[in-house]
Amino acid sequence: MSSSPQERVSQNHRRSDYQRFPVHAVLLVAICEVAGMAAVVHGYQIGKTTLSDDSEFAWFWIGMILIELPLIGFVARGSTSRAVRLALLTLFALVTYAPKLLRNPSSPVYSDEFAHWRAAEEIIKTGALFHPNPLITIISRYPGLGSATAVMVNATGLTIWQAAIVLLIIFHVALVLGIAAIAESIGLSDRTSSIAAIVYSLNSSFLYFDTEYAYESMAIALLVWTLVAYIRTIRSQPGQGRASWGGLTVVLAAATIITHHLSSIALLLTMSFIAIALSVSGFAREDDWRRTAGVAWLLTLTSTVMLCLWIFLVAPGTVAYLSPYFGGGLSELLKFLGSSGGSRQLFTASLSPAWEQKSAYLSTIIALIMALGGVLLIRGQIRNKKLPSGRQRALTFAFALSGLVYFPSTVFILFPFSAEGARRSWAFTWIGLCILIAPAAIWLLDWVRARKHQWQRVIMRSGLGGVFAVALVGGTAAGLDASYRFPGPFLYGSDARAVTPELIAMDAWFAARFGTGNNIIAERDIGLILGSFGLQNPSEPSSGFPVWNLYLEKPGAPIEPPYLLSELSASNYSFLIVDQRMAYELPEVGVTFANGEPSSMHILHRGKTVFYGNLSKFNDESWMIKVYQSDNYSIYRLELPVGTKGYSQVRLPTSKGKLSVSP
Amino acid sequence: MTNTRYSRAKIFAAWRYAWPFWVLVPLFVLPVANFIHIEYVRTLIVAPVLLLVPGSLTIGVLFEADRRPRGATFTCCSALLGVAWFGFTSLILYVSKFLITAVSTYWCLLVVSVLLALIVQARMLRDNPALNQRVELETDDDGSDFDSVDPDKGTWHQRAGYQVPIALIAGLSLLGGAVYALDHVSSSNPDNFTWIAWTGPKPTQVLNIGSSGRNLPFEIVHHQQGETEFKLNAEWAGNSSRPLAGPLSLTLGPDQTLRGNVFIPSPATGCVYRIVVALTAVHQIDQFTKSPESWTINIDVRNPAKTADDCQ
Repeated sequence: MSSSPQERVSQNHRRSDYQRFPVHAVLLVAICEVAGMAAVVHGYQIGKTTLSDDSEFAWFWIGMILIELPLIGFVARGSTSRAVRLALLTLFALVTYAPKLLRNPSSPVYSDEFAHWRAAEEIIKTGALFHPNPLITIISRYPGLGSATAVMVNATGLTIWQAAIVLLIIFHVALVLGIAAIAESIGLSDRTSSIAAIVYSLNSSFLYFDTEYAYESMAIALLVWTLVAYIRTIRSQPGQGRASWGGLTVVLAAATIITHHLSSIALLLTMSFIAIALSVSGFAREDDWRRTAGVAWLLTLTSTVMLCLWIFLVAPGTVAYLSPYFGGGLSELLKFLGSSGGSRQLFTASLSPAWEQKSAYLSTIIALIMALGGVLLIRGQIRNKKLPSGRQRALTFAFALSGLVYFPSTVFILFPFSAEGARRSWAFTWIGLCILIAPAAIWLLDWVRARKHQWQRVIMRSGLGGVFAVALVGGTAAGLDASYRFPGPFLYGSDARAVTPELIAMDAWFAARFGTGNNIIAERDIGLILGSFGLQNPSEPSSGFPVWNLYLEKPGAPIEPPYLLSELSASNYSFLIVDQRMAYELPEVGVTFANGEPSSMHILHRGKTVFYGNLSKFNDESWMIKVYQSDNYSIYRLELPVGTKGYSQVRLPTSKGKLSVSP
Repeated sequence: MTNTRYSRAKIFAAWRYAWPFWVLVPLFVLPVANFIHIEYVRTLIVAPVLLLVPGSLTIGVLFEADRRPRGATFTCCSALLGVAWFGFTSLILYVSKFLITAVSTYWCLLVVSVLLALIVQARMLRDNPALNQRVELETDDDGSDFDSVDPDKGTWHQRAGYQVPIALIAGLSLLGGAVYALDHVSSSNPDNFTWIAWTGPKPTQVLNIGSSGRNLPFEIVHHQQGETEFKLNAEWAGNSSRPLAGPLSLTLGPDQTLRGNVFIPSPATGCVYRIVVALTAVHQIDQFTKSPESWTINIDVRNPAKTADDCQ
């Protein structure tokens, strides 16, 4: 039977795929994936019933290593075909979404997730954008994720959370494939590009932060594919797709801009890095290099103008929202250098085991060594004239430099105010870093493969696997605290472990009894639930609006400042909610109400906090009526302004009433 | 050439001739999916159409046929452009003062997609007038060079083989299986709590008690594993307290709800009095206060028919 040339080629490909990825390899990967996933599930099961236990971490990481290492092994193998490699990378992207999916498969638990949940709910409920968001005000001005979720909910009938998971899976897969696409676009082989995507997965935001239901999870996928389009614009010749890729760059950049402020800024910075590199003749000189640089600058400036217009017309609060992080970080560094400022201790009160914490430090060292290896390889390529002056060299330098920014940024993690900003930057700097590290990783793998004896190869490969495991554990541990990453019993003030059925029941009762849209005063954790599921409006405490003083003042003492009660009355605050545990426990995240609250609230003295003895006054205040109490929560209706009610000072009535109950 | 191959080539030619309009078909018939009442099945049908149709048409508008991205690049770009269009259409509706609903979003996406399809089709006719004439039968050889480092021919640009769909199914199955296992196998700490709250009308100020007194309803909800013994009482409160009613002994079983009433007799003066209803667990000790666990609610009452001269 004869076959056409195309069919013969196709058969050859299939045969060669089979040889490169035989049945026993498929079985091995399948067994490891199932066993690894079972171990992760078991780790979470242990976590659900214990505050923090070494075994939950051990099971989880054994599972993750079982899930990831076989995939990485086959991706890194030189003989793996491109199609199989792409499939393995897709599988890698899907299974690395498991930790976050299993953390909270049925509802939000991170503070950002509650805020975005509310944003989506408001769009679905009202059919309009830009509703004020009392949980994170700036979210309302970046409606990309909320509107995408609303469309999915409206079209599919899924709940907000289910629609969010569908979108997040798409974003996560797109992110992984996008990193590989960037690497391949700047000239790395598909094998090295795939390893770059896997190296990227070691950054602290990958497993948990950029998989949460928040605008960065969507925007980072858009950012990465904007960069793919941008690089392809630069690599294309005029009239050969350059305008098309340029157009795609602008559309994707616009989508990033309406989705997330920080990602948009990171995108512009990376584009600027590339445009600068393309403008330096030492890097970029080749035929028509000035024109290429001009195109890069044109796209960068177009994106900058779009972002400025968005901030100016739609989101003017962005500057005020972000500037404290930038300014605060710099001033902290200057104070530290002048020896007048303090640094923070890492992993204070962390639930992570010691070996996880040590891995976090080691992972930075591993990244540094690998990055140095990457730099040496680039140097070698330039010396060997394998990376001649031109676009590829400029792009390689731009990404390498943007990646190296990661190392100085780790210094900022030592300062209280800038730590969050530094950590948030790593998801962006690792795009460059993974492109720098991946060739070094491939060089190392090939060097090991070239060893003469099999025992040498086995030992060295095991060693590399171990280094990867340390980098994976440490990279993740350097991000979010264990209370975010693992399920567990209630932990006061922990954001991710503060949601209990008791709190949900209180929220449901409150919304059923008093409706939505009430202005309430509550601690942060209570505010997150009532502000999202309950659609209430929690207060935004600050030093100018110190609602914490209501809780701090001793019984009988006047509430300070004197204007506070009248301001509450004028702003129509009608309920105050108390968690009695605030008198006995310090919040896990270090914040009871909001940043800037008095430091006295963070001291535990003989098992009691500064609130001890001050909360019972709410039962006796004439302007507060207790309408609900559960084991831990009390709801008081405020009767403001405070007036004279005319309480009896003489004697209480002697007349008897009657109590009756029925099921 | 076999009949099968001829038919396949004809279908392919028809696709190449007017693919922008072919991809609109699923979007046009999308409302039919509303008759599917299982959300997950509907999502499997609706989500790919909504994500990929506007996205792929946008790529069609931006790129000439021979420069269009393919494979993973095409799929990822289309999906992300589809999501981007969700945002852009919401903005368009908002600026046009239309409510963002299922219907308005669908029509907006449809109009956008039709416009994009028209542009792509016009562009195809302009770039390749031969398409306007009889279409020659073509093979599906895209001429990709596997060994090339040209990004237009790299891995992310190749048409995906059977491996990627298998990986997708395997990955999603693993995720689904893991969620199922965590949900059905794991045990967590039981959630034990009790609450008491006022029900009935919502007084915003002091509650008036007429001469015949008044019943105030409340509710006790008991989410505990076993039975718990309680005492329920009500009192007049102030600087001191005086019994109003009770105590009643109660035994509440698991997940039991009780509806209660406290009858308040008319006060003899026009002063304001605070009424407290307290529920106390007989054998349960509060972990913080180390005293019997208790739950209270209160309310202020007065007799409007009496004067308040002696008060305060």
